[in-house]
This record gives sequence, C-alpha cells and structure tokens, in this order.
Amino acid sequence: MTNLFFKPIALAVCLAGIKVGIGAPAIEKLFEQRVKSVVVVEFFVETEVDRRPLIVNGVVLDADGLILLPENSVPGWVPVDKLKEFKVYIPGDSEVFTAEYLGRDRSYSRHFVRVEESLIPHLTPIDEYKIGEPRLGQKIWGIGIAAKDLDFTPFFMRAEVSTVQPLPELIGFATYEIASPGSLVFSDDGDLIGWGSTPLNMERVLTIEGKRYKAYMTIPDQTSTFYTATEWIETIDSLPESPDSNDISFIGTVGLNALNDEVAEHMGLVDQSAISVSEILKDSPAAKAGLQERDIITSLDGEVFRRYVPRRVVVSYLEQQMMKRAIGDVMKLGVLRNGEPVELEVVIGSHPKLARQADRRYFETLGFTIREFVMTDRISLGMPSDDDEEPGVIVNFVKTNSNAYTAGVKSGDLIKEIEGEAVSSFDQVVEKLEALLQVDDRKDFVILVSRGSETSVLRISLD
Amino acid sequence: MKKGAMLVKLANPSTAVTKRKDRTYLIALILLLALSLLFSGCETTANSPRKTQSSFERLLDSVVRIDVRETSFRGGTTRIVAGVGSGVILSQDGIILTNAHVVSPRAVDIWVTLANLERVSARLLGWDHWTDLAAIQLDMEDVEKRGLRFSYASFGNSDDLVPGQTVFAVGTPHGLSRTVTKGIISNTNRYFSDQSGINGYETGYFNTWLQTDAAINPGNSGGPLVNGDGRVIGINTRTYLGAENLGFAIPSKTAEIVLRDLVESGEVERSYIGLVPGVLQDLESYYSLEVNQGLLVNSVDPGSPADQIGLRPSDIVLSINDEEIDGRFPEQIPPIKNFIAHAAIGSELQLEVRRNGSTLPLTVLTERLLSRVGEEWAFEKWGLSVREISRAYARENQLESDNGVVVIGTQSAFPADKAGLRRGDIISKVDNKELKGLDELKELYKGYEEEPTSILMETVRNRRVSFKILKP
Repeated sequence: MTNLFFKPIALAVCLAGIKVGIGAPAIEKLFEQRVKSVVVVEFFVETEVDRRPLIVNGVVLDADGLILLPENSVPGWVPVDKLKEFKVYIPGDSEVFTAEYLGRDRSYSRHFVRVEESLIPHLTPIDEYKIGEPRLGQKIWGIGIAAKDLDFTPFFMRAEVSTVQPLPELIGFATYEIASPGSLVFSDDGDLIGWGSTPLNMERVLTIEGKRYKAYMTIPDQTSTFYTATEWIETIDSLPESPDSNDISFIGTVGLNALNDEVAEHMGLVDQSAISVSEILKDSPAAKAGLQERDIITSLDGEVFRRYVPRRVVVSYLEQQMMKRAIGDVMKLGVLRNGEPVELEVVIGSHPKLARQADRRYFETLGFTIREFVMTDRISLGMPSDDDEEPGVIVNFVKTNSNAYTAGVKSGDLIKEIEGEAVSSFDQVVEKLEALLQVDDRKDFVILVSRGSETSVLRISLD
Repeated sequence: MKKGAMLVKLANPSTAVTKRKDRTYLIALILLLALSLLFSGCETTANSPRKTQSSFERLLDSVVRIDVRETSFRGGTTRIVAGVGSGVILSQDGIILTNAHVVSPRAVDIWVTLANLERVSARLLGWDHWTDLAAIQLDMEDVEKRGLRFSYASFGNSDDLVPGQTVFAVGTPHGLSRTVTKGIISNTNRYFSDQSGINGYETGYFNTWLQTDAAINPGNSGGPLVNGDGRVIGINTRTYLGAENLGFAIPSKTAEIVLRDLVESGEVERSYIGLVPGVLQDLESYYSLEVNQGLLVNSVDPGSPADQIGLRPSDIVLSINDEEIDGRFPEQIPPIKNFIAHAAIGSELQLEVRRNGSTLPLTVLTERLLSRVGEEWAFEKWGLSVREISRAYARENQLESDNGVVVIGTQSAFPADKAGLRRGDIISKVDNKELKGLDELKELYKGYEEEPTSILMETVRNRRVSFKILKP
C-alpha cells in the first residue's frame, strides 16, 4: 500500500528530536499548536423525506487541506449523492468554511474531505509532528471538542495509557476519556500518540431506590480509546479515484466465524485463532480458488493466525488483510478440510455493486423508492446464491401514508411482477412504472412482492 | 390479519393458584349465592322464567374447573408446569370440551372439579390447536364408584346469534371457580389468525370468532359462552391485551364439528395444498371478475402441492371441485380454508384458475396438514431443549431442508449453554455427520449417557455456520 502523506517523517523526527533536547514547550503552548490539526465537519444525509445533520471530527493530513474522517462518519447505506453541504469549522470558532467530499478509502472506509483554500493557512497538518509509541502508564493528553452551540470549543483532556491491544488494529486504552472521537492524542513532549476511536460501551450497574439495573453507557463525544499513531499513520490509504469509485476487494466468502477454543482444540489447532466459512458465493474468487463451505482457514500467506483476544478479532484481521490488497493480488490461505491441510491461492476480485451504489429512483406519486437488486440482497433475503437471474427490484423506502404504504408495500420488499408481468431489471421496472403513471384515467395497478418465504399481491391506488 | 392477532392474548390458564385453592372454594360458595341474584335479572328478558332458570342452572352445573399439570421441555430441562382453565361437560359419559391451550398432549394429569365441588381425574381424548379446542373425558369408573352426579350442557346454534344479544361467560377466571359474567355479542364473525399463538402452534386459520364484551379473564379459557337459555354457543378462548371487554370465543358451529372428530379419532385431520389466500376486495376490476367471485392466490408455499402443479401468486381460483368460491373479504377466508381442509387427504381437487384473462383447469393432490411445531424434547445432561424441524417450519424459515433440530432452550452453565448453543440455532451436524432429526439425536444422547465424551456440533443460524463442542 502506498503512503502519500508521510514521506517527510524522517525529517520531522529529526527536528522534533532537537526540540525535545532543548526542553518541551509548556502543555498550554502545545495545545494551542496541536489544536490546529483538528477540524469539525458538518454535513447532511438527504433522504426522500428529510435531511439528517451529522457532525464529526477530522484531522488535517497535509498542507493542501486534506481532512481524514473516522470510518463510521457516514452510514454505510448512504449513496454518495445523498451526502450534502459539507462544511468545516475550526474548533472554538463559528466561522463556516466549505469543503468537498472526496470519498472513502478502500481498506478501512475512512472518509476524505478537502477544505476550501482560505482555511488552509489556519491549519497544521499532522505530518509535522513526531510520532510516539504509547507506553504503559505514560501520561498522555488529548483534545476534546465541545458541541456546536458552544462553537466546538476545544478543551484539554488528560489520562494515562492503560493497555495497548491488537483488535486487530493496535488500539490504545486510556485510564479515562482522553479525546473526542476523530480528534488527537499527544504525549507531554508533543509527540502524536493516537487518533480518537469509538467510545467504549461500558457496562454499569444502576441502583435506583434499591433496585438494580444493568445499563450500558457511552459518552458519545468523548472516548478513552485511540488508534495508536505508529500503526495508524502507516495505514492511511490513498485517495479514491472518485467519491463513488468501486475498487473494493472481494473474495466471496459469507459468514466467517472465529472458532472457539474448544472447537479449535478438537480440530488439533492449539495456540492460534482459526476461521470457519459458512458459504462461498458462486463464481466468486474464493469459489474459483477451490475454497469450500465448512473449510477452516488457519493461516494467511504461510503465517498461522495469532491467538486474538477476543477470538472474533481474527475475522476482522482477515477481512482487513483482504481489503488492503489490490484487485488481482493473491492471498495464500491455509485451510483445514475434513482434518486435512489444504493450501489455496485466492486471486482478489473486485466487489460486486454495493447497495449504496445501486441505481435508485423515488416515485413521488406512489411514495416509494425502488432500487436495483444487488448481490448482497441475495444474502440478506435468504435466496440461494447460485442463481444468476435478476429476480426483480428492491423497495428501498416507503413514505408513511403514501399510496404504496396504504397498499401494504414495505421497505425491503422484492418486486417480482407488475401488472401480472414478471420484471427483472431496474430499467425495465422504471420504464413500466413511468408508463403506468402516464396513463390519465388509470386508477390503480397491481404488483407482486416477495417478503420472507411468502409473496403478496398488492394493489397500489393512483388517486 | 397477523397484526391484529399479535395484539390478542390467550385467556391463559392462570398459573400458581394452588396455594389459593382452599380460599377459592370459599369464594366459589359466596359466588353461588350471588349467582341467583344475577339470575333474577335474567328472568325479566326471558319469556318463561321457570324454564329459563332451570336450563341455565343445568348449564352452571355442567361447567367445570380444570387443573392441568403438563410437561415442559423449555429451558434445557424437563419440568412440570401447572395451570387452571375451564371446561363444559357435553355428554352423559363425561366428555368435556375445553381449549387446546388448557389441555394439550403434554398433560401429565388432568383434574376436573365438578359443580358439586368433587374432584375427578380426566384423560385427553384429543386436541386441535388450529381451532384451539381439546376434548377430555372424566374417569367414569371413578364417577360411578363414588356415585358422583353432574349435569351436561347442550350446544345452541351460533349461526342464529345477532350482535347485541345477551350472553353469559362461565368459567374459572384467576382460579375463581364458576364465575358468571354477562355481556352481549359484539360481533358474530371476527377473523384473525395467529401463526404461533398456542405455545408456538398456529391457530385461527379455519374459524372465525364470536366477539363478546362479557368479562373474560385468564382462567376463563375453555369455559362456555352461553345464551339466555343456557345453551353453549361458544367456547371462550382469547382476549385483547390492554383493551377492555374484547373477548373472543370459538363459535359452537365450529366446536361441534371439532368435538365430534376429537371424540371419534382423537384429532381433526385436515388437508393442505399450500395455497395462501389473499383478499379480492378492490381487485375485481383488475382481474376482470364479477364481484363476489373467486379467491386470490396471494402466495404459494414453496414445494407444496400447489407449487408443484404450477399454481402462481396472483392466480384467481374460481372454483374448487365445481363449487364456486368467493373470497372477497377476510371473513370469507376461513370457510374456504375449511373447504380445502375437509377434502380427504391424498385426494384430487379440481381447481378452475383464472390467469391473464384465460381460464385453466388444474388438479392438485392434497397432503396432510402439518403444524410448524415439531416434537419437542429435552436432553437433561446437556441442558438442551430441541424441537424437530417440520416441513412448515423449514419453509417459513427458508431452510434448505427439514433435516436437523432447532434449539428451543438451554439451561445455564450446562454443556449446551457453555458450548454457546442458543435458542434458534439449528443443529445440522453432530460429529461431522448430518443430523436427520430428533430420533437420531436421542440415539446419540443414549451413547453419551453411557459414556460421556466431547461432541462436536455444527449449527446454522441465518445461514451462518459455526461449530460448538459439548463437553461432559
């Protein structure tokens, strides 16, 4: 994987080294400088009936105003053209700057935006900092970002390093909340230690008037976990060709599960993690390589999986390793099949169209959105994966109390027939519906939808 | 129709009333006194007070309390659970009609408390969860030996009922034996079905319901709904959760037929073709049909006889065996289902089907109707409760086959629980061999009981395969 942004690291390290030798600047000073590497990004997700505002923190990657946002900033189902009005704020300032959405990286689904030029002089890219490795017990500090009505005021946070764990990314845990998610964590010397990750969902026992309740609690805008900078910086991916480009790696395995210890031991696998495969999609790279359902994957490129804690992390590890590789690259998988070891070479393919990339169309008069059927629908609808035909289109949205709603159409329905005629492709359905809507005195029409194991004949009124 | 049914709660046999039993008899006695008062109120509407009183009294003497203990296989162990319901004696030889959710084939013992407060044991003759009815019979030898007496009631005609007509519900609400409540018929033809309403079993597909505002509470289940003459016009069964005075009873017209079958053969045999009907209302012009003609095929169960002969969703069935059918409204669906169900199993049905404007004849061979619920069992040393996968369950859950068993419960800290088996997992393989069904697993368990060893299970859940080890 290429690393576009951190070529000057060696130089930076050298300079910082001299600084430290002279004596680290006061925290207050450091905070003032470092906060210039954090921005707040606001945008809207537009749906058929409303707009939902989202606010996330991001970090400045380079001198051209490139911003990196965490992987969960944009819900996975949202088509790129539904992301609207990207705006950027400097922490503690209400001035609004514009930004452009550039897409997500192919390995981690982190997102990129670029800010308008006038903002760039106010920002400091993170490649100017020395990278530090978190040590157990080390004092670290981070930048918290307050809510919008507080002008996103930055505030100082402090804690110590509790532990660092491979999950499978190297995640640092602090003794307390240490930064806002998407913001930065530093050492007292000003070294970049980490990038604020997702807040932990902490189990708590609430006692109210003597009654005990089990509760799970998070502080949504503060986190005690961070991606360790040493590894994170190395994994910052290149920009996608376009915001909606589809070059995601794919091998076609469904339902990967980590083996539990007893099962692994039963299969003679000691001191390592292993993965069972539920299903192999037809004609997928995995199928072509000869991977079979119920195979147990034990190694990647000759390296036996380490024993992850918790065990399920091994699945994320394999998936990440796959995502990181370019299309056409080879993955060597060591597999246990009926107790016998088998070596396979899977050539990474490109991912079939995703639901968010599928064609879609909202019909205002009917009150529903239909979208092209994609491969993942086959899995979620429990349909056999070895069928090649397009079985219809998916209802993606139904407006409450619209004609479609009244008729009983539900989001997730698969439309199989319109007016008694089988439909398959998206274009065909659009054409048919448009034609129906153009007939002046038409009162209604009938569709056949499939839902779970049943079908339903539904009459949609055009009144 | 499913939505409505979800709101409906069984008028369950109330549980945990054993402690209150003594007190209950006392309350029952007090209630008897109160009943005469209720009665005098009834006289004013009746033509012949004396006659009405005596027939109503006879009805009261035929209503019984039923205490049932039954086996439960839930939670990874075999347990005995107890409940209380109601019933009505309908013959001289002590045959009692009650609800299927009061007495099921899992009953270990059934105790009937007669109107004269004497207790007699009874046995199950048969049950039919589809209509939520069960028939039991008193131990007549014991009855004769002890010289016990009881009355028996007779059926009225539920077809003659009109909304607004006064009716009475008699039963054992919350263990209060022989409680009479009064109300009216609110609706004579209510339709709803429940896919898993009776401990997972389907109900309500073959009957409509009488709706009444007579108070019906848990424990009323299986008791009669009667008219002013004391004739049984329904069996009280369900009530709406969170609503007031919305009770539902199986009409006597249905109950009479089901009771006859249960007494004769212990079950109601029904035919199945796999046609799921829809409602034709508003669709007539689209299908160029005359009003009140035909039945819409909304869905066809995959692999069912209807599927095999090529019946398709949105086909219209115009007639079955030359009998014209009319499925315009939801309330008309149960009689049509009944019509199909009453064809002999394995017989041919001639369907006249309208498809794309033309009419074609199709012949379908009926199968026996099966429930989605298969046999249940608990493997106590594993702490594992499972259920056989029926064809209906496999179809409903889009499973490739009806092989394997489905987990319905585990006991905490037992091998199955520790291995990570959870409710809803399908056990598809044991020690790398395909598991056909429950009998095979029982065999394997026998081996385990003799010599406990680690067992590898393969489970499937939402198409995800995982492996689990049961350790002794």
